[in-house]
Order: sequence, then C-alpha cells, then structure tokens
Amino acid sequence: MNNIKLADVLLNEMVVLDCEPFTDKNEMLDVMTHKFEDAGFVSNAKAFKKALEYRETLGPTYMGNFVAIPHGKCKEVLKPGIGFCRCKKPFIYESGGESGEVKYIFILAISNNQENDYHLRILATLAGMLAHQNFLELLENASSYEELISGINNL
Amino acid sequence: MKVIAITSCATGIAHTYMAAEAIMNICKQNGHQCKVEKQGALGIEDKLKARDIKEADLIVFANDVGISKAERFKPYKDKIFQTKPHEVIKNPSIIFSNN
Repeated sequence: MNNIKLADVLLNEMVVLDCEPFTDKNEMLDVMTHKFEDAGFVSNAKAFKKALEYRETLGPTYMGNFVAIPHGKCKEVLKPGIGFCRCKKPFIYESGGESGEVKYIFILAISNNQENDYHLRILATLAGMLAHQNFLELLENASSYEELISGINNL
Repeated sequence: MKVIAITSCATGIAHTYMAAEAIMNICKQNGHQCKVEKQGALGIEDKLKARDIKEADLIVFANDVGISKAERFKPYKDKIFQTKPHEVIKNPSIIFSNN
C-alpha cells in the first residue's frame, strides 16, 4: 500500500482483536457503529447502521473465508473510515439471503461527497487485499493493532 | 490466453475491487494474461483499450450495476462471460466455466 496511510482510516479505537463472538450481525453492527460515532467518523451511529442495513438488502456482504464486509454510505459519514473486529470464534452471519461463519469483519463507512477520493482509495485497496491469502493470514496472526498496520503496509 | 474483465458493484468500493483482485489472482495462477477495468466510486480505472478488447480470448463482466461504455464490447458478444462480483469472489475459477 504505497503512499497510503491506512492508519488514517483504520484507527486503533475501531479495531477489536479477539472479541467474544457476537450473537448475530445485528449485535455486531450495534457495537461497531457506536465505535464509529465515538471516533468521530460518523455523526450518528443509528443513521450509519441504517445505511449498513440498507446495503445488506442489496446483496450479501458475506465474502467466504470467514470474512464479512458490511459497508454503508450516508450523509452522516463525516469522513470515510474502517472498523475491524476479529472474533475468538466464528458466528453465523446472515446477509442478503446467504449465511456463513464469520470471524473477521471489516466495516466500511463511505461518505457521499467525492472530496474524499484519497480515503476511498484506501477503502478500495483494502477491499482488494481481502482477495489475497497472505492478507487473511495476517488478519489471523496479528497480535496487536501495530502489528496489523505494519503487516498491511508491508504486504 | 488473454483475459479482460470489468467489475462494478452497488456501492462502488468493496465488491468492485475484491472481484478485480480475485480475477487477477486466478488468471495469474493459471498462467493467463489479465487486465481488469474497475468501474467504481472512483470512476473508471485501468480502462481497457480498444486493442485489449479486440485481442481478448475471454471477456468477463462481473457487475451488479450497468456497465458504462458497454457498446465497446458489442462485436465480441460471444466471448463474454456474465457473472456477479460476489460469485467471482467466492469462486474465482467460475470465469472459466465456458472454456
């Protein structure tokens, strides 16, 4: 990820490593959308959750390989950002008529305006990385936020 | 063989780019040349040239929303494999189903 500062959009306070598995997607979205609000990426956690839920109606965000990438776009997104959580054990994630076991969740907040191309570029790059096995291994093995960020920057 | 693809999705960020990487990966693994045009929130990226389209052995459309400038592919209809970004991400080798 040349010249891209992932740490600008994937903040320490929005990364949860080794959390207890969620009961379901809804609980996970509740927890994570509040983190976005607390970190100043969205002005209203509820509105952002609605945007995420709307996206779920368009098609599955479960991507196989224990990965899900719920993402939402709305005016309440103040700046684009990414949240990540790694669960100790997989939970069943239902999405757009599909379901599967999920352990790694990336939540993307996408802003409406196009002034944030730089940030959108980071989100796009991250999405691309999810198709690579070595990235998935890093997600499993990183023992801290710092290790995660430096690992991603070194891929 | 020469593979070209177009990816696009509803939000224009997640699936567009994941599908593009998945297609490039599977082509690399199988020793095929590959170019992918992304039509996402950042506009059209890595736009395919007329020559790429003309020389392609396989054209993959992995889109949820309409493809812009689709008329470019009209003369090569029989080379097009139509799928969805989500399908490609889950099972990249699906793009070779017709070969």
